[in-house]
Amino acid sequence: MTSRSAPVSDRTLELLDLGELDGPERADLEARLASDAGLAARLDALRASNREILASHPPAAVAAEIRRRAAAAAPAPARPRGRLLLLAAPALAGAVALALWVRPGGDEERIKGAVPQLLAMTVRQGRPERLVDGAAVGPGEAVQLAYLAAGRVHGVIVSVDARASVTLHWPEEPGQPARLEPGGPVALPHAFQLDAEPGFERFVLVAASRPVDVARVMEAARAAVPGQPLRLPAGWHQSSIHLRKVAP
Amino acid sequence: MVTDVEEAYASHGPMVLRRCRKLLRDEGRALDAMHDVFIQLMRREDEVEPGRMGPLLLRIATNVCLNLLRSARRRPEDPTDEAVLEIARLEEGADGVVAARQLLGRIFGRETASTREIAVMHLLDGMTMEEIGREVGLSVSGVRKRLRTLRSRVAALEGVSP
Repeated sequence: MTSRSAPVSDRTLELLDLGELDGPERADLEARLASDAGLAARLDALRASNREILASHPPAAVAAEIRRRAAAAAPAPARPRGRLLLLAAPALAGAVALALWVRPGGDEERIKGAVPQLLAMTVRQGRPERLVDGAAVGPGEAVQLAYLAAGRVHGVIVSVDARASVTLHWPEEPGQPARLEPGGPVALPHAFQLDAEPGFERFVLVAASRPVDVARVMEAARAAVPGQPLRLPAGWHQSSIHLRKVAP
Repeated sequence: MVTDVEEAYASHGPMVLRRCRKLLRDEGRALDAMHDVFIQLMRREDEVEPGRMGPLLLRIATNVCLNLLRSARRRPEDPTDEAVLEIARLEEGADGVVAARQLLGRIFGRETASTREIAVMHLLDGMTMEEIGREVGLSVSGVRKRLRTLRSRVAALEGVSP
């Protein structure tokens, strides 16, 4: 409830005008409006602004533009990517969140964000699991990748298997900008299913403050020596996760 | 789609545009941001409580605008604008727990309030800690702690009311 002398914020007035204030607060404010000419004038000005905005930007035209932009921004349907079959992101939604957030004991887990970091998650027997470097995975297992950019704005994520076959995970297509989102952890738009190729799958995030050349990263991954960092320019930070593929 | 975007804009669009104008201080960018806010609303319609669309839209608008301001290259127009620009550029990802909570929220469709949002509620909306706590589901001491941390990181907040 607002005090009779407390200043009334624009936000509160907006919500009052929309009929979205709770009972006691609404009643209190309506009482103040009856005796406070300045407050009443602010509400009148708000309503005049509503009329002006709706006249300048009519609802039908704005709604059409919103629908057009929403359709243009809709994600592409899932498709195979190289050797790996892409899955819809919600397939592992719980895995990403819970594997990052909760330890088996229920404690929160701190994901350090000081340096760029690649994260991998899966679901086993209905329970989310974080896949750490060296973890064993089975053929057909679904994996979701996420990253922490830690201030770097450019980045590429690739994977390479025992046959030096390289798959680009981020950006989604080689011609797209290789930009990382701030904050995080940021999940990639698709999870994917591991193939039956024996050996390993090594995932590498390459992040930098300056633009990262996708082709150069893919070439470095193709030439990578297991257990060694990719040969890349100084200043291109690498975070790697090596998954061992084992028979079920 | 359950939410009729035309109806939602007709009732709440002006409020959203005013919020975007206030944060971005550029009419063209504010209009663009307003469109983005309603696109996000369409994607998060399971979060819309009947008769409570306003607070959700304000939070979405705040986040959309702060994300745009992160990369803004302009001089602040006044002390409040300076504080908003600093808040927008805060690197929240450095706190792993906060980052993981936000990811959890994005995936399950409920975004945990970020310190940036709380700062805008306090700074621009003039909300009390009790009001912010009710809005974002935190205790008053939780809100106070977040704001205290923020003040130590955002020099421009000193001397800005409230």
